Amino acid sequence: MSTKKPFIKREGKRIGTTVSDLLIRIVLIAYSVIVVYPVLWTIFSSFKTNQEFYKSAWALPQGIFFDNYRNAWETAKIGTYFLNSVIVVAITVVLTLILCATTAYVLARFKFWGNNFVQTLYMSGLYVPTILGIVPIFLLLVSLRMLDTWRGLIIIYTVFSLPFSVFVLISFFKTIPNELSDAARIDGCSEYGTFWRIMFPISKTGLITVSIFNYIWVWNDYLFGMTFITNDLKRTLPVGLVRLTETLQFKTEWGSLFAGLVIIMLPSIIIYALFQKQLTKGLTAGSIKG
Amino acid sequence: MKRERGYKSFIAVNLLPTLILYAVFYIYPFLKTFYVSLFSWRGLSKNMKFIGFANFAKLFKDPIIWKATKNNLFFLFWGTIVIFLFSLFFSTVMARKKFKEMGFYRIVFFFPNMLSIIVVGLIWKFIYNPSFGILNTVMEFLGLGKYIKVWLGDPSTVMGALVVPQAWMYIGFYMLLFFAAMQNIPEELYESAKLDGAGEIRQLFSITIPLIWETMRTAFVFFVINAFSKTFNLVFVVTRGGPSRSSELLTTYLYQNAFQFSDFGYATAIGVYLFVILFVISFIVLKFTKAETYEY
Repeated sequence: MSTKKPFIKREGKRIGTTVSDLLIRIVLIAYSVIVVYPVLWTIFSSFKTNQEFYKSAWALPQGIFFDNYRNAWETAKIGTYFLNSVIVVAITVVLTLILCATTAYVLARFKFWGNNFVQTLYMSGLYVPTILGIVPIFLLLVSLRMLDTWRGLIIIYTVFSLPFSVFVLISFFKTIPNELSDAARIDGCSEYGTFWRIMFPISKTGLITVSIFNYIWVWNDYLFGMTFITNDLKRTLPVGLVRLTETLQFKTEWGSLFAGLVIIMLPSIIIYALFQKQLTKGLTAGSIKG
Repeated sequence: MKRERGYKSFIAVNLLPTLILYAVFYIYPFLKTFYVSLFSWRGLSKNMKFIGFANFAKLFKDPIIWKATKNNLFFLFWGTIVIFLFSLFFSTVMARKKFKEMGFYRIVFFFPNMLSIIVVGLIWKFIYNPSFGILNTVMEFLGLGKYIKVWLGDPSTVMGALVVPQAWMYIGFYMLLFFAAMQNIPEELYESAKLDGAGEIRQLFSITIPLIWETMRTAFVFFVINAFSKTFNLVFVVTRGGPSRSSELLTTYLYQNAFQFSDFGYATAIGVYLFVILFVISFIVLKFTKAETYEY
């Protein structure tokens, strides 16, 4: 990539640029294949029968074999894990949204004693690896009788979403001009009214970005789900999937495992397709600059 | 602007419930890690025995700790090189070249970030599979058959084989961060550089990199944490630290001590050690990469 530049100067701009553009394109396309192909392969494999898979793991499926999905969803209990995950993730995302929006709004736009200190507390959370507090959290949940409950899991997910969410939303709320909130107050809006009726809706882009990031990590989390839930019927999807691989290692029926992988990917693919513009815009909106 | 009495209670109502939750479930466990590390404490029994720094003394003599530290540093070193090189290259190309299909590449490259590391780990386990994995199939096709290995089962290749999925997952994220920062660089700077006869590489080193330096530093600190923290899931799912601990990480070893051996004192001591390493690396990096901030 770096060696062809002097070449351009000597050989004249047009040919050099065309050649280097071509090379760059080849690299970009090659990398696209490296990213897309394994995912496509997983999807194809989920439609194959076991015999097909063993005959050739890399051929296209001969037909669409839906039994893998039925097996995964029912026999391997992926359906149960899926619904568990949906409930846990939905509550976490909404709860985080309310908590981090109110917090970030106050921190970004109000002057009061201790403001900087509270901001520092949240920001330092960004620099702490999640696994560090796992033993004390486990003990805390035990003593609060919240081990093996979704309540406990949801609280932990929410609290661990706060540093990043508050961080992004503070910079977001700072960009909203003062005139807007001032005008609302002159019109007789209370502080609560100003926030919920004006500031909250107007920050839609920031709130969606934050929620997508929280969705991504909570939907995909393995560590907390594995550690804080022990009852098989309460497990979240990533944990259930890993359990499935462990049992399949001895039965070698990969079909339902691939179906499980597709099931866990599908919501993320849909969300990405719907919101990818917003996601990039939110990241671009100066959020990581500070 | 005059603010009525409700002002103070509004701040309190918005701030305090969240802050209390955060203090109880985030800050308190974090601090308690340091406290527990000074005790001998097995299982959920009540008797914690204060033993001062004995856990740390044991830690420094534990050969697995050194192995794990080395593996974490391996992730950090090779992960940095691969991920930063690729993401910098991709983001530069995306910011400077005006290909029609650039948006497509951006969407595709970021996509692995949407996936669970569980999915990424399992997919790569299949790619490396010795009997039907595509890597060996492709190598055979290219006539490289004699270099084929049991990538994840061989102590000499397992760490390298684990860095690749890590990079596969995160290149797109750092690419997007750098790309976002590059968007803020005014086009005139490049125009005048071109008039002065500076080529693309020259522009990259004298305009782009200095102007996104702050973003790169922040990104790097996040990557340090990532290399020590998020690698847990990957290793836990793909190799469980094996074969024979050759891919053991500090985090997987911590987890094993805590939840398999119920040795909470030792596990938290590993946590403290991990935190100190992270802190020192981040501190050194931030101190030695400080450059004057450019205004543009």
